[in-house]
Amino acid sequence: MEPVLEVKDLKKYFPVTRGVWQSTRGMLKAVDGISFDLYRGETLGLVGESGCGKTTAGRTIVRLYEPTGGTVRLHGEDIFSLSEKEILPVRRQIQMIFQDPYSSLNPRMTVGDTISEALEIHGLAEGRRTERVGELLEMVGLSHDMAGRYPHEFSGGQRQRIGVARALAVEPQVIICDEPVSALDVSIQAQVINLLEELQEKLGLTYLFISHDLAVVRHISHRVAVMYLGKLVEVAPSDQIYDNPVHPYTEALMSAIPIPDPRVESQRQRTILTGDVASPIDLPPGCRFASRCPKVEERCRQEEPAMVDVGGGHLVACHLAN
Amino acid sequence: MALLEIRNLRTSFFTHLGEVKAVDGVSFQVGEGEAVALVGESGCGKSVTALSIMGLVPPPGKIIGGEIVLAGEDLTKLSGPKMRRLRGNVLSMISQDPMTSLNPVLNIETQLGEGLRLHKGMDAKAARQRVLELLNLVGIPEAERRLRQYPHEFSGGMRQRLMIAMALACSPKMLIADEPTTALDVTIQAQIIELLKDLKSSFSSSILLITHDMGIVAGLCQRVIVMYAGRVVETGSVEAVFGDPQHPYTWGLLRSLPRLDQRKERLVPIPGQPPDLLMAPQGCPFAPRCRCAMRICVQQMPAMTATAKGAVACWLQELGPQAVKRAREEVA
Repeated sequence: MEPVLEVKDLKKYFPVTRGVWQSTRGMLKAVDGISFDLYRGETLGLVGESGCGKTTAGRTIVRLYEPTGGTVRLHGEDIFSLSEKEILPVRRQIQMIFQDPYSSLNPRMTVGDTISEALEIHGLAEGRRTERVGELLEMVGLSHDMAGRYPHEFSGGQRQRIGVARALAVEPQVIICDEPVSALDVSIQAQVINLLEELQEKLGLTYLFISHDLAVVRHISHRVAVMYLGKLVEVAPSDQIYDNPVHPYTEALMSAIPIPDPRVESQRQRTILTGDVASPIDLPPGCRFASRCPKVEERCRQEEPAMVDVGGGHLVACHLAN
Repeated sequence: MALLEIRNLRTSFFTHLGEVKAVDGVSFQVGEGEAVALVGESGCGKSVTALSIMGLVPPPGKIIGGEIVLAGEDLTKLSGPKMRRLRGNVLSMISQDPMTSLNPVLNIETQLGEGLRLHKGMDAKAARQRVLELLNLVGIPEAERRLRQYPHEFSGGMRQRLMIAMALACSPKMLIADEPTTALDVTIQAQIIELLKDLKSSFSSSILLITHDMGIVAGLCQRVIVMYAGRVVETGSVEAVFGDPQHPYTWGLLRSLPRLDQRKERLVPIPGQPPDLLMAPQGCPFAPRCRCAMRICVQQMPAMTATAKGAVACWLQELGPQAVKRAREEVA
């Protein structure tokens, strides 16, 4: 099967500047060579802790940030080589849902105007835009007569639904969801997760689901990619990665998540990490996790491990995996 | 015996739109050496309860009724100076955001030692010694060198440790932790939880943990208080509340959570959204979202009734335990 989206060796560096002359002091390697494929109708979860580069990766893929290196192909077409003008039809195929439903909607525009702006830009639903906006609102579980209201009249969960409606307006194939439920309360979280799942089934959508919440990611994803300091350390089908994590970082991450069940919690053995996180500006030569890894060996500090397949599409970047 | 007892606490905010009853008749106890969790969604009144106990409710908020009894003394009746003598001493709090709760122009030694000099009458040397001990206790390496540093020189996890060290400086009998790990990464969160567990066993302090994360509750606490729209809807031991929840809101909360150790086909969300506290409903505040709501639920607020392992405010209890169990299974 052909992947919908192929990401190869994606890099995004930010210059770190100092002083009035803004002299460059170094490069912050937010995303430092990540590769993965996305297949139609699938959800790939991208997880990691704050500062690991997961949000930057998402934004670079849709070219909200100009990439430093690598390629992203949508149906085989390299989108990084396109000009500003040529990218418009590509943007129609990849949309984004943002984390904060409070700041990602224009407070001075009615919800209907926000959604129909997307239709206008892409020249869609000419002559029946009001109707189409109504359809989209109904599709995300709101009512069509809410189109005339402003964002402040909605609750957090409803605003996130509006964000979803706006993304769906241009009939995309791939949606990059950047922490879409982290700002919401748990009971509302489940509503939005279910909505995303239903829409995927109905419209055959492909998601890149970026989140720090591993329980949510396990629930929604078919495959999971774990990121640490700009690199992927493990990619595997979601049950695999939870039942049989191979990379020591993945293992520690899993064991740190509390489970809402006192019986399970009292039985659990935790791997508590010690040591400091390496600086993304001044990266060590070997494995980036070496400074915190409980199983570290000498070669880990010298040689960066390559991604290897340990069987059944389970990829790991660790010297100890083979 | 209960160290902290809250009776019918009512705290309201008097805004230009009207009175917001943030905490509306809350009662509970925290025993000596016990860790109790106060859980609920944002806006349910759990943080305002904490601030009420600390006597730090910001205007236009005000405690308008009830008692907060700590070791036999009603805190709501204490004068400002008397309350200041308790705060940071026998009663202290770890707040949610380590980034904004430390004074950026004081170094760590001054900041952590302030309470010791003030409450315990220690001189600079003794305070410094104790601060060093505290830094070691919360696992901050190179404590000697760190004493002279300022908050901006610490990472988020380290700052939260500083907050904890500061809260523990005078060995408080009652520690209130308001979302102590929400701003932190999971691997750091795990370290902080371990730390709180150690403290509970070595100091036998009582902890009131305020959180929305049911996972942390399961790992750290003995008892749970579930709040909804400014009221307590259910209390009980962790085993009881997680294993045999009585209130439909608690069922909903537990069912809507995705779990790391299980694969669920579909999550079961709670429909609708929490009520607007400006227009507090007449009956049970959860009734509009409850799948088991009866006519009486929208007319009259149910009282707290004792169950086999705790207490719950729900009209379903009138129908007997079998009916509650059946209703819970039907909703799933």
